[in-house]
Amino acid sequence: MNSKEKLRSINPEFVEYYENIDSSDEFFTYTDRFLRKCIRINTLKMDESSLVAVLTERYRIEKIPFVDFGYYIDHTSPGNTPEHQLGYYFVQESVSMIPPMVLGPEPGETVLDMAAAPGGKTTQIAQYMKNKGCIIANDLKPKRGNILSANIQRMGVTNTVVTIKDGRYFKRMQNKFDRVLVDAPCSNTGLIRKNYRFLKEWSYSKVLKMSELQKELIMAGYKALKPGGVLVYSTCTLEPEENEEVVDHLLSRTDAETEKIRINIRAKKPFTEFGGKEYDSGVKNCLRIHPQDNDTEGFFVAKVRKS
Amino acid sequence: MKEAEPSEKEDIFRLLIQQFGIDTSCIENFRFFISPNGRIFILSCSEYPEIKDKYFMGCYFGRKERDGLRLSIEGSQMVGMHAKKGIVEVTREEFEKWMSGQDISRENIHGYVILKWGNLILGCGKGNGRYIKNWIPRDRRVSE
Repeated sequence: MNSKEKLRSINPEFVEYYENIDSSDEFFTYTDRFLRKCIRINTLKMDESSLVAVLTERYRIEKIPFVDFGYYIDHTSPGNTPEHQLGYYFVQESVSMIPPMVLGPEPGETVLDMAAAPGGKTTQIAQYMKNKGCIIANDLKPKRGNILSANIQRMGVTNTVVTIKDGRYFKRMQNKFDRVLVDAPCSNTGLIRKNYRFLKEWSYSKVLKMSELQKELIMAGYKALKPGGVLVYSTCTLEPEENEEVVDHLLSRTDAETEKIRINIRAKKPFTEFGGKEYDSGVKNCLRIHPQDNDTEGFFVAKVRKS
Repeated sequence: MKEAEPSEKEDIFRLLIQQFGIDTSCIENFRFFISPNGRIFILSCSEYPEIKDKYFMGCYFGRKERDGLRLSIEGSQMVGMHAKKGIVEVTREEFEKWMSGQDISRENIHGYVILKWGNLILGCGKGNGRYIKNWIPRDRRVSE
């Protein structure tokens, strides 16, 4: 049985829907393949070259070409090493290092990370900020807030305040933040490569529910952004309803403008229409990464600037 | 959690100089907070007064004990790179042992020390003249 048929046997609705997004055999083959383990080196604790020297003595690592501080690691359990427990690196999927890079935070700025747990992107943002300035790292549930707080601690981040709120709360903090990251809750199809649970749980009705929530979150994040500030919207899923349509929702209701994302990575063209809906041409600037493009999770990133 | 009074901050700095010989200018820009159970947190940003119910803030730095300052792993790493005394170098075998939560045999070491293996700073322990007591929290230990 090939990968597509295997995935169909687990969730036929998923395969039927995804044939409209990417019907290639490669898409289904890579969606069904395990991911390479990746880490992000924590330069808040040691400079990159010194830490690479330490890690090279004990593990086989290889630079990920398209992200800062990212390395593939040849280790079955990179979350159970002394270097990990001491906070010298964070286990993080390669493409999930892209949103903080695109956000481009600078030392001294104020940043909102609206759906922050488990904290990979928050701690990467702190790394770019060199622990200077302030990050509000928010998540909805206390249990996730505990994981987030523990990772902030382990990575030695000192410029972060953790809050537990519905992300939509931040619409009341108008024009406050230099940068806002909305790494939205999503249908997680990119994570099928880690766990079939995400395939089993997938349904189109859930996609539509997520899309509505994501539209509210991006609007709240945009309100909280200062004029001239940058908002990055990202998901680890590939349904246009949760990606291009959400960006279109923002573009058609505000003065927001998308910007081209300049990263040297293979990607697909974003959808400019889907399911009978036509999207604002600004969605062409978004980054749509399918699993077979770079042997990663599926991922979507949009960069927006407030006028 | 309340912000440390200037005298409390001075006391923390005095202990850091006494135990580790550090130049405290490396941490003087941090704001120090003390929780009701005596845990010291450091923060390098403003507090956002418009957000009333903060869940967690800054980074756990250490705790003031009756006989000195016991640093967290992160506190040890911040201070350790500037320390002029109170540092114990361990072997690779001891490093693995320490990270699994075991004490390390060391004679004539008394009081709070920072452990180091090469460039890696492993946290803080306390010597009793025979061994260095391990305080790596359970969730930060390497399991078998």
